[in-house]
Amino acid sequence: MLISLGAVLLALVLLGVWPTTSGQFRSTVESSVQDAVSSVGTARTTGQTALRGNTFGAYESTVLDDTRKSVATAITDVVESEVPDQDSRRLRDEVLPLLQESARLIGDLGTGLDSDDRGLASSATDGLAEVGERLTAALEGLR
Amino acid sequence: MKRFLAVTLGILTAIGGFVDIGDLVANSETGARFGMRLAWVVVVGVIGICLYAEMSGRVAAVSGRPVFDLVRERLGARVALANLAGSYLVTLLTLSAEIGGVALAIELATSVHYLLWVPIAAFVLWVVLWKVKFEPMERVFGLAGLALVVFVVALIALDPPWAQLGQQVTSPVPPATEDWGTYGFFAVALFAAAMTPYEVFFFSSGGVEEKWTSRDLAISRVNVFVGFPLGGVLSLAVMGCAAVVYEPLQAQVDTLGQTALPVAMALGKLGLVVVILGFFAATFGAALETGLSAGYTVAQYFGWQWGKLVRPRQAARFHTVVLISVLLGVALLLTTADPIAITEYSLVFSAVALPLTYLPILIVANDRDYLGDEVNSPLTNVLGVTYLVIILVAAIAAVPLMILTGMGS
Repeated sequence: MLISLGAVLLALVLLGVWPTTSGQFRSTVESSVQDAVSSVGTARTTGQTALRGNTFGAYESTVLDDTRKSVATAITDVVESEVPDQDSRRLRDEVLPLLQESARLIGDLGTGLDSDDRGLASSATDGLAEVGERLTAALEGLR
Repeated sequence: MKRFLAVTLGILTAIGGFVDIGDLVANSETGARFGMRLAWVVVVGVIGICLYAEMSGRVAAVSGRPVFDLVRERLGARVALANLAGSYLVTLLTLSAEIGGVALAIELATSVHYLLWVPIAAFVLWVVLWKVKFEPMERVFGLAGLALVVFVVALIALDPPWAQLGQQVTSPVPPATEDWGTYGFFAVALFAAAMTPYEVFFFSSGGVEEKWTSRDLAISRVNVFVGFPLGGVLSLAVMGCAAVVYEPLQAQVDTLGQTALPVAMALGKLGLVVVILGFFAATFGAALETGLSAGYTVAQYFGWQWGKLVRPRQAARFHTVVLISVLLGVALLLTTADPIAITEYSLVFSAVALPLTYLPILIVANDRDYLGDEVNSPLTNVLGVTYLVIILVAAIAAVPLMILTGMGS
């Protein structure tokens, strides 16, 4: 009984300290990019709908806050993952700027809508459309 | 008008069962990821819940006693205890998620963080459960939940590619971006959401609260065959809206705000206000249902006085169970556990607990000592057994699929 318990605990410890493989890293990146695609798509659609006057402040703020948190988590997941090899490093360097750009644009959209700055909100929405396309292409490459 | 109001129990039960916080997000997420390729599960679920809710309503109307009461008497304390344990835990998880859902709906209207609304929502819920009589409660929240019909209007206003949606409905296979594992996981979750155990307990206990007799069998059936299909239609409309807006973006849906967005796009601010009101009514109604169901199952198992027909003082233990259940639900949310994640887990565990709920109902509905000539017809039994097989398959597959797919991610 004690031996079995020890074996299970040892397995758990080993799983925790085992180095990340390139497959696991790729899977983390894919999941982060998928989250960013969802957040960027939602933020862009919210921005377009808000600019047409079809939403109100509290709703916009809540939705954009959710998307901002989701992108922030996606960035953290990639940054905190151990990079196992050169290919993984290249993948990280390709994806991370897109995630950061997404976070910046969602922030700008929120600021634009909060301060009633239509120019800022509009350019952030256009930017989100562009970064969304690049993220989708990256996601398709990862699948 | 009186005839229309007679179906509010079915509408409240169905809105709680089909468009509560879990279903709203699960249907939306399914639409975003699979289009309408899992719509058939909703149809299978609607037929299943109609079948078993009709049995429960008939048992309540003919015997004057709720299903759980008879399960304990007919099958003994041990079998009933297994039923009680499974259904109470699932109901408690669902209650917690619904309180979270109420708070999330208020957050959409105020942008104040939902955790600040949780204790307030729970307090108001408890006051309603304590003070408000059964009939006004079911009518107000059943009818207010109908605000979610706005999803049907929004789907039409979005002018979707109907032919493409129709093609998805008739090709029940995962799209290229998904695999059979996630497809199976979402199929089981949607089926469990339609057949959640608390629905039959609430419906049959509600029938007793409304003093149904054999003469009310027609009202019971109208409740079942109007309420649940209506819930199914709303479910499909939520799925359709998400399929139209999110599937082309390859976006996944995991928040209530995302679920409301297609309505805002199609119908503007007024639509958005109506949908948020609908979210509030549906989740609050479901919280009332699950809160009462928690009390009903425990009180009926132990043979205590229960229900809202008597003063709270006369059903003190029933109301204590309701209060403790609400407090446990709040405590779980205040750990900052995500209400949407709680619902997803409750759907999986609900699938596991389904056979414990539905087998006893089938047995009781065939007992002539309780139902006399109103026992199941041979056709009802064939359908009932067929559904028990489906329920068993879903129960066996639920946990392995949850582990293999990482909760469908």
